[in-house]
Amino acid sequence: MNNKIILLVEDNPSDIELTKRALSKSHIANKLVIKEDGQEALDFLFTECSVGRGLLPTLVLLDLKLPKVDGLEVLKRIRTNELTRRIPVVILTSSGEKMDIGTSYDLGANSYIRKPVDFNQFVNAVNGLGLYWLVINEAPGA
Amino acid sequence: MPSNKTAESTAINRQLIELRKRFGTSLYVFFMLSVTLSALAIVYLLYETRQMKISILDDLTAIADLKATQIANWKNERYEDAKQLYETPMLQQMASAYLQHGDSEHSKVLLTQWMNLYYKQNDYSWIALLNPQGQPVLSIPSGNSAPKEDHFVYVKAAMDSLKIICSDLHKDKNSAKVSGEGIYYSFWVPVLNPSNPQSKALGVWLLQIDPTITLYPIINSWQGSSKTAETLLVRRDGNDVLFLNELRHREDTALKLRYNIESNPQLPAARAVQGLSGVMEGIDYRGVKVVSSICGVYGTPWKIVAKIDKSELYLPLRRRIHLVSFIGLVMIILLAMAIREMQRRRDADWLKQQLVLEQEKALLQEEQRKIALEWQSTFDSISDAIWLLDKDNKIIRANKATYSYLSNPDTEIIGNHCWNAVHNLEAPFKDCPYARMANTKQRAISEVRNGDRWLMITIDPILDENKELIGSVHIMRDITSRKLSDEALRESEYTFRELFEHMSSGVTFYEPIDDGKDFRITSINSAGERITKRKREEIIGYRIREVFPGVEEMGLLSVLEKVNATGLPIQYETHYYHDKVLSAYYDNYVLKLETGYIVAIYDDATQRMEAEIALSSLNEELEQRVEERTAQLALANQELEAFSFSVSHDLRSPLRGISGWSQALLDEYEACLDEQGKEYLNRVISETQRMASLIEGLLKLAQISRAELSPLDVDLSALAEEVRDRLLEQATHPQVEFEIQPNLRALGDKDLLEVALTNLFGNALKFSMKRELPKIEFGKVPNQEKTVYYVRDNGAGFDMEHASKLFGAFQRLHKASEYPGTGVGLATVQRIINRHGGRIWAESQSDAGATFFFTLQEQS
Repeated sequence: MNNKIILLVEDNPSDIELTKRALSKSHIANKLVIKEDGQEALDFLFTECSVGRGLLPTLVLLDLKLPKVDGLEVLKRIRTNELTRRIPVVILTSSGEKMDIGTSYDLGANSYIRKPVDFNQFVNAVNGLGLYWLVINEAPGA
Repeated sequence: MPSNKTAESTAINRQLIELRKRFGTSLYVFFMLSVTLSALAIVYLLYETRQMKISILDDLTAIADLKATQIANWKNERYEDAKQLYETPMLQQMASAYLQHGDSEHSKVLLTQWMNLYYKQNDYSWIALLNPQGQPVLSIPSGNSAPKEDHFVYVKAAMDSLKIICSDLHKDKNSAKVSGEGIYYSFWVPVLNPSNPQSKALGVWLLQIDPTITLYPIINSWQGSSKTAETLLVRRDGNDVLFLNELRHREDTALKLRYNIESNPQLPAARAVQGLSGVMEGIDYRGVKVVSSICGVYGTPWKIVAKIDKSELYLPLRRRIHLVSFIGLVMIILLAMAIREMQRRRDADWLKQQLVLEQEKALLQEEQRKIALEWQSTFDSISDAIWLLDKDNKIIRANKATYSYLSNPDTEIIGNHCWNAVHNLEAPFKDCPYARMANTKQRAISEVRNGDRWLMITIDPILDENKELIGSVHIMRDITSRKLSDEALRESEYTFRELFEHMSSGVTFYEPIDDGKDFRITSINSAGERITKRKREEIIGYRIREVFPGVEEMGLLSVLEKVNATGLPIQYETHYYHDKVLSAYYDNYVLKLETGYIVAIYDDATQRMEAEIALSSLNEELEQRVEERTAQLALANQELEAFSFSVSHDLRSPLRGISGWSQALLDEYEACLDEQGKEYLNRVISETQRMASLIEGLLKLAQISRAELSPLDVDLSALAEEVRDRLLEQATHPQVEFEIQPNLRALGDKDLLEVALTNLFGNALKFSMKRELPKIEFGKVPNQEKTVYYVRDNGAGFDMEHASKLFGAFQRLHKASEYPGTGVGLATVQRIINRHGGRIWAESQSDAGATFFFTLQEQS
């Protein structure tokens, strides 16, 4: 479990911290890689991990509203790349727009979670998704 | 009428003939049959009479003959007895011996035996042997010994003649006291001397026969059942006829009753003794008419007369006549009854037929009467005065309307000339068309002024087969109003002419030529001259294309053709015409007159056209501007939407931060905070929650405004039930009553309607939660022109003063502590209803529940 990396793509520092906190509250101690815009995330996935032979993340938590390259584009690229197309991607966003939800699933998102305002609820949500995707779910393997 | 009378009398005659025929026939038949019957009866009777007479007479003859034969036989038998005595020598010897010697007892015994033999065998009353003195020496019966006076005659005769002497029926004068008794028939037989038969006789045998024993019974027997029939035995006695036996109708006649033959020629007995025989009629001893049969008795002088009363002879005949008559009468009566019955039936049939005929006749008469009445009514209902005139021009009939034409309705006009009756003139009225009609024998018409009235008089001749005038029909019609209307027409014509000349629109009259392919101008008004810039004289009489060459291009020519063909007017507005002189727009109205002329009414529309063109360019500009503005607005809207979206979206992030970090503070630094500090932090967290819901509401509102409507037929009741079920799952009150009217359907977007109902029901639920028994109703207001739905609760309600604020976003009428909420729900509902083209409103009283009404598709 420890060698499983979670990639969090999120531009809001407060949210980053809150997510971290929520993860720790849920006792998810995996390595958390944080990228603060879409481009960075793509670079990480397709350059760093490939070139540096770094491990690909087991789970990507992806915000939709991102600077430079938005979340949906990131998702599209992940799904079109041979290396990354099987990685579970969970959309973690403030938007509850039907359009966003639909498009995300169309592009191959595995889950869509709307970030609750209430922190306790947020913790519950993160706990749930971590438990599911990192423990219960069988990953496709490297 | 005379023909009617004739018909009636003919009918009566016919009836009489019919009656006579019918009854005559019956009577005739009856008479003929009766006569035939009577004749038959008479013939039968005659035949019967003859047969009966023959039979009776045969009987009589047979009786007479039979009795004659019997009597003859009887007499012969007795004579044989006498002859035996005479011719038997032994008896002669014994008798002579006895007479001579008288002592021979032996002879006496023998003789007595012989005599007894005779006496017992036959009807002898006395057998005696007499001596020559006539004294009986031997007799049987022995007591009867007294000699009779007349004996001696016969004794002497027998003794003298030596022959058997027969004494005819004779009366013993001494003994005969009782009728019929003492009458004897005797044989006197001489006893001859055996030694000398030619000598004097020695005595005489007497054989005395009593005729009452055998003879009279023979005569009297065989009378049959007849009451009058009898048989007589008679003989001639000198000039008289003597009756020998006792008669049926009179006593004590034997050898007593006698009639002179000469003086009683009708007496059958007299005829008999005269030697007549056979059947004959006569009058007998009683003076009664009889029929008799006479025959002689052989060997005697006697005659037998068998007779019967003529009246009895015909008695059975009379009975037969009575019977036949009775039968005949009965048959005639039956015949009469049969004929009567037949007659009756035929009468019934005939009467029935007559009744039917009568009814038909009555119907026919009724029909005729009706037709006459109808004609009379027709005649009288015509408003024209109609007279029938005879050939002398006298009025013979006039209808009711006539009297309304007369100045004095009481004027007697029938039988008068019209000039006396109507015009009070001595000669025909000068304008009267009668004279013309009489001359030409054809209809003549005149229009005549009579006082202030105009009359049209029509006279039609009535001609016979030879075209001779036999009368006429005079019809008078009041044409005053027509005359007046003619005048009015002239006036109106003048008016219209003026109008035509002075109206502002141009008017041109066309006459269609070449089968409606071309038109000739016949008239134009002043306005027309002005508008077309042509002088009247330049164009009237010309073909339209000769003077208006641009008319075909303008399209007016085809309009004229169409109007001419269909007869329907056409409005032909704003068409451009141009030629060398003119260049303008025209409004035309083209119509066809009843006379066939085509009329075009037109105005110069150029100025209006220019104004319209200006206006339309202005409009176009305006439209463009509107489009531009709309685009700008749409853009702004879009921006606004994006804004509201991003606002709501982006605002959530910091909120989450605030909430999250407050929570972190609370979690991590709990020890450093006193109760109030914790309280404040909790407030911060809860406020962020509230803001989150506000943002949520705003987002929804924005979504609803943006969402595409996809209207479908929605089962509102089912939808409401779904919403109810979902709400009840979350409801905290255990006893919420929902009442949802079934079968409500509406056209709308199902998702949006669900949102609306969720909000309305949620609201209702929220505000009635504090009731003991919350009740929420959803349904349709009955009897409304438009469909109005309602959601009613029995909750807190609101003050109607604030009703206007109900549907504004973030507007709240209750304290949040009592009834939490964002104030966006009803705004959302209103938006949804509005987007459906409907309306929403509410009615309530504080603390008395609230009712929300809404409609859908009120404006399409």
